[in-house]
Amino acid sequence: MMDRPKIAIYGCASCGGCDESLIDMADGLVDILHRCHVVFWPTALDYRHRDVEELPDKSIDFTFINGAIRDRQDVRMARLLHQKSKKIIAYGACAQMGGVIGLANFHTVLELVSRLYPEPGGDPDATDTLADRVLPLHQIVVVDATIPGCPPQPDRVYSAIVQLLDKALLPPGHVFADTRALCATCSRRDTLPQKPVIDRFYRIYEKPVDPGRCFLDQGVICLGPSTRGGCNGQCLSANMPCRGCMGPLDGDADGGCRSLSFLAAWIRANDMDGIEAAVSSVPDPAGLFYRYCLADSILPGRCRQENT
Amino acid sequence: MNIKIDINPLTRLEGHGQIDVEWGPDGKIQGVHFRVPEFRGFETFCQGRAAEEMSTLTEKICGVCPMAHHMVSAKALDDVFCTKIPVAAEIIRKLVYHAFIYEDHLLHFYFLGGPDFLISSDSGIANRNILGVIQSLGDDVGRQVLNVRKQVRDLVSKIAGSALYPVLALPGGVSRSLDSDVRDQARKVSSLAVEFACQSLRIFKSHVLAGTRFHRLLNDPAFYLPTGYMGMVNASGQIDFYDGLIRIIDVAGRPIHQFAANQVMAVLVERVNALTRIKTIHCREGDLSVGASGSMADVCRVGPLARLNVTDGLPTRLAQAEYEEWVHAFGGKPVHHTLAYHWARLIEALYAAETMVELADNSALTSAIVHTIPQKIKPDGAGACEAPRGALFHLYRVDEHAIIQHVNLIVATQINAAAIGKSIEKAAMAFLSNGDVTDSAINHIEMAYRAYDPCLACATH
Ligand code: SF4
Ligand code: SF4
Repeated sequence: MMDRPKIAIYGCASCGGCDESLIDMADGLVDILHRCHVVFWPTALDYRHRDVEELPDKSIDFTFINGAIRDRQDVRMARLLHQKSKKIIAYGACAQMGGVIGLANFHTVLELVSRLYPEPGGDPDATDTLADRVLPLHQIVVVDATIPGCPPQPDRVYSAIVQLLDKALLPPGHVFADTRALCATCSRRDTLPQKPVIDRFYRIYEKPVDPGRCFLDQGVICLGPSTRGGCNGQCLSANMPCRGCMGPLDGDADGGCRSLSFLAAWIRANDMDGIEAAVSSVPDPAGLFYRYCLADSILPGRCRQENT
Repeated sequence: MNIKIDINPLTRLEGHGQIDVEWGPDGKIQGVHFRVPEFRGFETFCQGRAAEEMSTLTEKICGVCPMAHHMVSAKALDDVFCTKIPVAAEIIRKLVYHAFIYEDHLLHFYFLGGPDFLISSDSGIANRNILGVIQSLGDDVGRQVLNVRKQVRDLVSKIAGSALYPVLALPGGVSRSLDSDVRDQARKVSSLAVEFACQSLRIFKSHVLAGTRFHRLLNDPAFYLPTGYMGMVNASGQIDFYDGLIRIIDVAGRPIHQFAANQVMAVLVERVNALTRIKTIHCREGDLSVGASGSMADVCRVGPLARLNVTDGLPTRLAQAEYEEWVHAFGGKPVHHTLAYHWARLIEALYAAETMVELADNSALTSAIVHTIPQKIKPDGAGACEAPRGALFHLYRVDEHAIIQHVNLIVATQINAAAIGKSIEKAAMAFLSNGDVTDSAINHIEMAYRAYDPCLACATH
């Protein structure tokens, strides 16, 4: 048992979907559990924090961290695991870029906490335990590789873990997914509009959607053009548009800005009224374009002082 | 001097929690605290979002039961948009929903809760996990568990995009219709699911119930907690996971409330707690406990044990027989034995599988009309379902453009939280009172909360 590679799996501010994805590897999970020695994985095993603290530094070969950095315990655990591990893998959209949890950056900590404890003094330490902002993992520790997705699909996770265990030669910061946008492999790509065609956008419930035609060609927002491929287009297969969980492409500094510029390019309008109509048909642009990547945006969050 | 231990993190559940136990200088336990420190703030950051995104946004509250949030949210949105969904849409929703309850219950039995009782008690930490379970039940059963779960989840993925991230349900119905291939797959998978549910019940009876250890614990006063119960029932008063009225019974089993989703806040109230980020849920009025156990007087439990306590029998044949055996084993209802959750969970899995068979055979399943385009928006909407862990409510307020203004989520583990805390306290008092902090004692305390299959990420959201 001792010379098998050691791995750890931990979730910071997370939903457990990333853990489920590991369990969904099914036979793959059994294979991995036989090949490695899992030293920490609270969702499935009974080891505690102190068991991690007692491990020698850099003794874990690979640590998979999912979830965003939301509270101070997340910061502490990310640093502890970094200290104990040779390689850190950001696993899932939250670890990679804050994920849906990052939408909390639209609000101050005080706003968040006062929804929980409306009476002042309801919990004296709630505001202290939360970090000022949600952060992606790479802003706290060095991330050696990333498995994107919300959650990453079980097959892709399995193949990523196998590559790591087989010591595949990977460039620093490797992302286990496609290097092209989702559109490149989408079965609807033949109807992806090649010029401005959209007078107004439709909300998903407002019209019947043809499952054989590109969403954009039907005026429904799909973030496929600005989103990394590799998810097998699973939302599209259920006739729902992409919402960007795989994150931006290499070299795109800000996923939300990228989506926004793409979408704008498809608007067809002859005058200001037309432009207004198209723009105002997008109900919540910030929440939509930054759905998964707000915490990793180059734009600052709402940095109001708590006491002003 | 006071001595303190903390069990941190709690394991084999979803989310972050810890238990602190404190002894006074006299060697007596002074306090047992169940603490849940995490908080993400979904109710706040969902404000301002487009309403129709809620069914895919709120499912990120919990990756173990995303389908529950997805479905309840879609029902709240049907209400906001004043739509009656087409028959086929309802059948498709129910099919994936029952499939989800089924595989989630199996997940708990074999992966999360099972390692506490499917393997021998002295096997220690390193073995108390799914591998230990597979070792103890044999490779064959182990492979079947993985295979059946995978087939059921593949079916859900085929229909809903992903079992991990379903995107199927939207206001007015579902996003796609099903063809006969999917129907055939659903039929095949459903009968397999029934078979394996029966086998799991046999395993439970032969490996768990028949063993002296579990039997002793099942009847141990440390794992006995009289409370009220809450569960959803259909028009004939029988369990329904997808739709119906919520019924509450008191500690003696007498029905004291029956209400629709939009009435929930008239019956229940949220209470904040300083040591945990879980707002616990209590009944506004009506003494549920007939004065039996003080702090539990306004608490009702939810989930498999509660649903079987609340229902007037089960609607499907095999599950009904199992249910009768279950009631008989405890000498009648309500059953207050906390570890009876595990058995109830498997009976529900069988009921879910039998229901899948019926739904897969419904001729409307492959109808082309699966969505009604909403014509109207009203300022608020409410939805409820039975999540695997118990009743779940989403309440939304929107503006005239269907932008979310206010969100209130009442989640199963919140409703169970006060009872979970009490169960932990009772177990700690029973197994740690002599001050001997052994791995086995700690495991017994953890069994007290694991029976509920708690989801702490859900409970704090
Ligand atoms: S990436 Fe998605 S699945 Fe993973 S923890 Fe975050 S929200 Fe959950
Ligand atoms: S925009 Fe969406 S639907 Fe259209 S080709 Fe790209 S991924 Fe496919």
